[in-house]
Amino acid sequence: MGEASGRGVCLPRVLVTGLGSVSALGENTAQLWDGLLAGRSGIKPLANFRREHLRNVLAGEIRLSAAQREYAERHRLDSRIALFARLAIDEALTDAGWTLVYLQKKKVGLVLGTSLGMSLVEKSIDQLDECAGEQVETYDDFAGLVEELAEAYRVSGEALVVTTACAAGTNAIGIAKDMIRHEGYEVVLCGGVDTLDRMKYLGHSALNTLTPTLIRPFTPERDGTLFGEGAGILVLERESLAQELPTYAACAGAGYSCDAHHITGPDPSGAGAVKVMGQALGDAGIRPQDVGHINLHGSGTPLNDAMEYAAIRELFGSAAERIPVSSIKPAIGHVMGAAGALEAVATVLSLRDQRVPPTLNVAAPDPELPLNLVCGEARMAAIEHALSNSFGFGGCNGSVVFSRVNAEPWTDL
Amino acid sequence: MNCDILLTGIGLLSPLGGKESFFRALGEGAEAPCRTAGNASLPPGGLTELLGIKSPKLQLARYLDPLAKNAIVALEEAMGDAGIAPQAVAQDPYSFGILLAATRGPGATRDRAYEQLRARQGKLLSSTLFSNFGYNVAAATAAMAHGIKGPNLTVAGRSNLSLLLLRRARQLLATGRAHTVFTGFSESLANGEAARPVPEWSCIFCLERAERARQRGAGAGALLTEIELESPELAQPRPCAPALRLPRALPQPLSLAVLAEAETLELDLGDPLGIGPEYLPLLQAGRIKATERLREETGYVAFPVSARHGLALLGVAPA
Repeated sequence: MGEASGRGVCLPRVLVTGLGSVSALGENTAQLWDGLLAGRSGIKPLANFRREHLRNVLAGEIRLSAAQREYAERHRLDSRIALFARLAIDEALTDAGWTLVYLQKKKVGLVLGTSLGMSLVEKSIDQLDECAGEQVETYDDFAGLVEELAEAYRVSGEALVVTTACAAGTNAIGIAKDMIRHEGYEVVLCGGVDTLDRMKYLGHSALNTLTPTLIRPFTPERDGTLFGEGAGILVLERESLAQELPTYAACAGAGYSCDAHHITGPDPSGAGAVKVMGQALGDAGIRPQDVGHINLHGSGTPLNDAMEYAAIRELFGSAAERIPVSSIKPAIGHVMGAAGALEAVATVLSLRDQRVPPTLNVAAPDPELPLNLVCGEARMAAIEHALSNSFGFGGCNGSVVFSRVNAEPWTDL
Repeated sequence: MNCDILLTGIGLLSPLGGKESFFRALGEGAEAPCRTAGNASLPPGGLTELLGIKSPKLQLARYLDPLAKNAIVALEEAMGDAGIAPQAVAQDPYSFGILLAATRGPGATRDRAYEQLRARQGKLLSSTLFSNFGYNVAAATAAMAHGIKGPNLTVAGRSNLSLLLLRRARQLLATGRAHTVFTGFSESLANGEAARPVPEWSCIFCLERAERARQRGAGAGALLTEIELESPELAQPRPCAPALRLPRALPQPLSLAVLAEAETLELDLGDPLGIGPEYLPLLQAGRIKATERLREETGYVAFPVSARHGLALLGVAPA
């Protein structure tokens, strides 16, 4: 079954057939999802780099397990970013039932988002302090990273890294969806990966984007974010290829826009965010009232949450107070270029289980930002279509829509 | 994904000068100045200063990374070349998009920040410099400078990145996410001061949906139809016919003999027509039809000039 586009052309549907993740809540997607639903936090004191001169020493850091270190050794991986990406891709491919032998016979692409990756530190698995010496080369070569991953998974088609700051993971999923829907790709591995290091924490300390306490999105006390690391991967497939297999959801729509306002701050009017969400809904062929859940960007910074509220209110009108919304950043940290990807994983699982995970650290939502914020404990919800938002530095915005596989697209044709 | 796309403008900033100077220098076999440990003639981030460019758009912020400066200038030139007035962007800002490649990001800013951090005994990182660390700093800043609010993407990829960019730009245009996309590179490979002495480049193409370009009365530019980016085995059953018709107004007709001498040029990442070496056999075997169509329709041919650092430069000459 294809989807009717606005031009009356039948386009192939894009299905999510596999998920993979590595996060502060666990080594795989099951651990992430269980942790989110149970309201557990993966935020803990930093252990992988020095803590002096930082505004906050808490983060969604990953402490490598013996199994993860053994994996790195077995595959001769010498960078933390490649390790996270490969762990998540392996899980997603296994989940989707693909082996490399069969995968390489298909038209396959790879689209990964990251923000700064390991560009501020040397290439390593866990030496994450700043480079003290002079003339030290940092691991800034994203072409090398994508080459390494494409070779490991024998990707025959395009392989690219999307670097649109904190919108990168979401933008990567949007590009991947369009590659299948419009360009004849059969399978695209997509998502995001990012790592923590001392330089990033020093930078965000200087910018005051780091909270001195905990992330408290959409509360009156919100005063910044905390960062995390990890990877989120989705296997997207053309429906005709996936029809014999169990699937999670349809990747139905995506949008991109730019605030063109400030290098680090969002446009307070939320105009770019309205545009990007509207574009994603239009691409999915649904109306605002069809959306049953929004996985918020919800970074907990005063400006970003206010902007996201203004945009949701503008686009959804009074329905904004009805739709269950949630942010998973308080649980795993803001995973930067991988944030949108891990949030997409959570959104897809919300659709599957019809449950919305709670937003941690929220005693009472900000009355100035009246949304139906799920907090305290996970909540059951009837969700046919769900939206996931990401807003990054440089004003880069991304939204993606996932739908239940049997959901009917709205059409006025 | 059927959609005709026109190349209507080019903006170029290189150590050999702007677009016209670049093509002239290419013909003359000139060498691009190269920053090395012993040669400060091209200081990191100094291209706009070296070329004496003083655009008011460069006053956008107190500090701009060289990638951002170069992208702002190249995009301004591409807009002017395409005949797109700033007012046209202001009227419909979400229909214009930017798609740039950046494989190593703002290295000059990173170097500077490290230098400053060392001077401050590792205690404080400059928030201004940190704000400019993003690989998307060139695309984001160029969008701010020119009020472009449509898709704003920055990507890195394998050695076929130039074709990949055109393909991704084509996706944005053909799917209706924008009617005009400015696409290209802004690169500076500074990393570790003297470790990799490669100069800066910025090259931006203005690509438009054909009907939009015709509607606004733009001159006929190059036509971008289909580009295949796959392994040869997968491409076998399908016709492999990327058609990249080159510009209407090449600066000065260059002779084949002169261009052939250009093999000694220090051209590198960021060159406007670079493609991956895996496509050279296709080109040489005549499987890339662009050369034939180009000859018939413009009287020019494209051919490989040099392959360095995993990239190849396509030359252009009268047939």
